[in-house]
Amino acid sequence: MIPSRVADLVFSAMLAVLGGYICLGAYGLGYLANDAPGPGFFPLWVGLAILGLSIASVTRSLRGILAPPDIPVVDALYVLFASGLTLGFIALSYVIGMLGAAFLLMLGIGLLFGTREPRFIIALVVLACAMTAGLHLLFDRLLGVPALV
Amino acid sequence: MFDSLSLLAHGISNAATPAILMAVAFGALVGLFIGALPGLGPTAGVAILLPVAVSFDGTAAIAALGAVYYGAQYGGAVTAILLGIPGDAAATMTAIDGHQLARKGKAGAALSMAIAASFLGGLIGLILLTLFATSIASYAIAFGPVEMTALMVFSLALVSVLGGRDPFKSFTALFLGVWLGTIGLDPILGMQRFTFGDVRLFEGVDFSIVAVGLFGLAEMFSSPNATAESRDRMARFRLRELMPDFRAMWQCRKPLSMGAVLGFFVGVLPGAGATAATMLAYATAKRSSRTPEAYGQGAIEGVAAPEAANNAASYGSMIPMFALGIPGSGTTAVLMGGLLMIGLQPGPMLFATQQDFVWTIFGSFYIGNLALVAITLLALPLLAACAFLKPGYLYPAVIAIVVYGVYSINYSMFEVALTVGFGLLGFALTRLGYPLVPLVLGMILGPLLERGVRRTLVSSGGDPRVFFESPIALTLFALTILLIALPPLMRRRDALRAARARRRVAGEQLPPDRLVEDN
Repeated sequence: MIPSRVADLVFSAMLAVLGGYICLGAYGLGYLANDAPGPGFFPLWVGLAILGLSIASVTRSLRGILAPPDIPVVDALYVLFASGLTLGFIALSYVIGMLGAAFLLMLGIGLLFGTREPRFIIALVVLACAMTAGLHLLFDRLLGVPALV
Repeated sequence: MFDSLSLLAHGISNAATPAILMAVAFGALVGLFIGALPGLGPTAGVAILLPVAVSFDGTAAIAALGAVYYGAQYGGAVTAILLGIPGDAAATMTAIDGHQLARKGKAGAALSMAIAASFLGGLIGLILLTLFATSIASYAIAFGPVEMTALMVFSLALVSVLGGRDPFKSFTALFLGVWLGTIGLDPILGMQRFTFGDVRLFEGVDFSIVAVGLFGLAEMFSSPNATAESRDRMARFRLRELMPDFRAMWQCRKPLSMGAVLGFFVGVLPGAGATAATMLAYATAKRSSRTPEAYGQGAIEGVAAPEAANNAASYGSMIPMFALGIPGSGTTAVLMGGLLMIGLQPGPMLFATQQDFVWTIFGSFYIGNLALVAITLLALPLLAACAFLKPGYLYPAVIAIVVYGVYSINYSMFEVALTVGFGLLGFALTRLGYPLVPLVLGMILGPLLERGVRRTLVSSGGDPRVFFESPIALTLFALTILLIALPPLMRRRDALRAARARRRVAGEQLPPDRLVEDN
């Protein structure tokens, strides 16, 4: 389990840093332009709000107010692996083309969330083949999307 | 009223073109399956289909996205009845009696009632939408930039009702969304804001990328075992048992019509949503029933009332979105993003400048609602099978559509990577108790508010008093203050009441001599 209090604290601190960055960026853009609000007017207030609320969240999580339930490590790993596989699809698309990469992505995602038994793997390969053909028909042929090849 | 009817007739004939009919059928089918899949609700469905739909013609795109929304209301009942697991939150009340009926071997009666109630509830909702949308829009047309700015402030304050139980986190998510909306070139002076000099961010972050990442990927990947535990219950139901029972439909006419009307009006209220509508409809049906004790044990009326309510509510929630430009729920927020993506600004002017578009969309809703009855009946065996689909088969298919769909918006792999990033952000936000709807609300309404404030102040020479000269704006600002102040005040009142009750209980337990001392 990932203790949600610690995760909340780290996340709130990161948001506070983001709030500070937005304020600095907004200040550089200019608060006023021709006696009216400039490009930095709105972001400055938004940055201040994020900064203030994040600091409040930091103090609240330190005091343990409304702490969310702990996060199972396995859930976080699922999300990280699935995201990694999708990023892998992007990299592979430039090498073997989008259709091939999508086929491999489907196999990867299926194996990640599936049972990994021989029968399941055969069905998954069939599904991935059918979906790849469907994607080609819908996006490449019907909608004319210029996919990477 | 006759004007509305003639416009509607014109809209239905416009919607009866092959392109729109195909889009409606496609959206309805997708919505039906999305609604039936536990873990994926209408918001995720509309978000996932958004990048695909925007590549259609504008009207067909919104017709398809709308069909996903009301199609999901039909589909949600399937899982709720067969598995006792609501396909989406709005089907929660259906699960109570629907699943009890299924366990008694009356799955067919429950499912056919759900379809009939969904259709009739939807039809009543649509008739009310036709009657009310124009009149609300005609009042709202008096809104100038000042009033629209006040309306945006009011809409953003909805976060106090749309957000989660922690107002700090709800408002943080809201401002995060507003900041995301500022990324790109400044709308007035054209300066780069938070683009890191990357040309791909000059146009800002595409809304569908955020929606797909937050609602689609995050929701899907973070519930890997959502359907696994229900597989062993599959054998209890056979598809041949799913036969309709017309006598029960007549028996339920009262809870059905009551649920539809209630559902519609609750749906109109921003922030109330279809789930609240079903709860109210169920409670009202139970209270007015001669056999309230049957509710919860498998009462067919307990399926009719919430199903009519959630479908009527889905059309009711379209009123604030189309007529005022206020997304009253997560799904309408994503739908409104779709409208903006095809270059249409929802609000009172939409009815004046895009009359054909609006009525064609309303016409497509009528067609879609009718078509859904046939589609649901035909797809029922497949839907029932789909309800038991393993994530190992489901997720690969959905992710492939997502990556291709996102890529097809601007033919950019950078945007696919951004979607993954928003998926991770969505997971972190959800698990740490940050609600996602305020973020979406902020991203959509933030840029509109900024433009309104800056343009108004430019025209008034920087004098902010202009915002307080309009009675409509003043009323909206007062409502905003109420909307923000009321929830914490009510929570405080409840806490005080609870503390007082605890003290009273503690006082009753004290010995008499101690009680005298305390007094």
